[in-house]
Amino acid sequence: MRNNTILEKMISYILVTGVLASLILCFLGLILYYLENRLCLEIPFNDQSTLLLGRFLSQANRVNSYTLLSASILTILFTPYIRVFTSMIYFMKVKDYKYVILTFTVFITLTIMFLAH
Amino acid sequence: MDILTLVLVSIPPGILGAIAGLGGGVILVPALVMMGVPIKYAIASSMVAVIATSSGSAAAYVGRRLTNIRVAMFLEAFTITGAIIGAALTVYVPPKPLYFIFGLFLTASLISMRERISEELPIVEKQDKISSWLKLEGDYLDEKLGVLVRYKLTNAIWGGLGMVFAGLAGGMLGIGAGIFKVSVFELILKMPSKPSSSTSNFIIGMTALAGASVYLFSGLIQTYFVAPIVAGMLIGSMIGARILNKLSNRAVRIIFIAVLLYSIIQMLYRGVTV
Repeated sequence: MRNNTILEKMISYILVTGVLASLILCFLGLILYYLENRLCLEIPFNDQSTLLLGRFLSQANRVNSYTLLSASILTILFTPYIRVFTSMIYFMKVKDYKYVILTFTVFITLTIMFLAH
Repeated sequence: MDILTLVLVSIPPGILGAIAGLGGGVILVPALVMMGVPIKYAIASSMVAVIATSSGSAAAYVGRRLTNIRVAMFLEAFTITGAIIGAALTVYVPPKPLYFIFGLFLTASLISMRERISEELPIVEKQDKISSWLKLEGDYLDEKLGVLVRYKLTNAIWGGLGMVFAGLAGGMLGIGAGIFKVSVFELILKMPSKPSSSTSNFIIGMTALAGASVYLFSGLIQTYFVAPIVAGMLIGSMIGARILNKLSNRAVRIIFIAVLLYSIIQMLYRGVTV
């Protein structure tokens, strides 16, 4: 069996890092939430708990359950985006232009979608 | 509803999603609705959860070379295009006939899958020129069979069009559409079941990201509600990823057929009640 290619190793590393970072942030955030709310595990369902990028960025310098849990969700959301970008760079480097076009199409489509919002 | 319950409820869809090549939303959304969660929040949460399943399982699959990255990169471009067209079309197309059209496609998939249920590995004698040009082939160590399985894919163009259709279904119905993707992998591209499941899981994260970004900017992601679901799905998908390669391809197909049947019933039910 051939060894993993550099691309496979790179993508595997990105995914493992993204997943572990998200899980760690999530568990820390949940523990903090538990402590902040006097050992209550009930979930609030209101405007204050909505994940909004602006709100998250304005509170990003504070360590509380909202910022940690939001960071956890955003980490998992952007992991696939980062792996497409990395793949595109890899295919450029090995001059595999068929796959540069394909990954560039996906990357640019996602970027436009984010910017359109 | 408390955090612990949400984590526990999200683990089984994560396991099943990782094994069958689905995001797990098809199981998670009805479970959340049954718990009293409003449907729009359930769907929005499911889109983020699908990305968690995708990344959680792919983290294991890519390292073990079960996921075929070239095939995934080729098909992602098609499925994202389909998803965007689908999302744009939802404004103009009423939902009722959609459920029946997609239900019909899944029924055709079910019939074809049933015919191939005893087939352990598909054999592609001759690749078409485009599949060969794109190097759509791979190999993986099958832990159950104890052999290195080499495979070649065929019908690249039809597979691409199939992925546009899967993307359309995802975009129009607001789902990850893993069930459509696995059908395209197995029935059109002739990929073995295990790489089909793992490569579908890899791609599905990208389709779900397109959907999740809409919900994120619409303010439908509730932080304290989604985070425990993400944690549960990640744990579930990592467990599922460890199970998949120990199963036979036949067992994977049987699990997929069971989920397929459930999805058809769900789709027809929605078609009648919507």
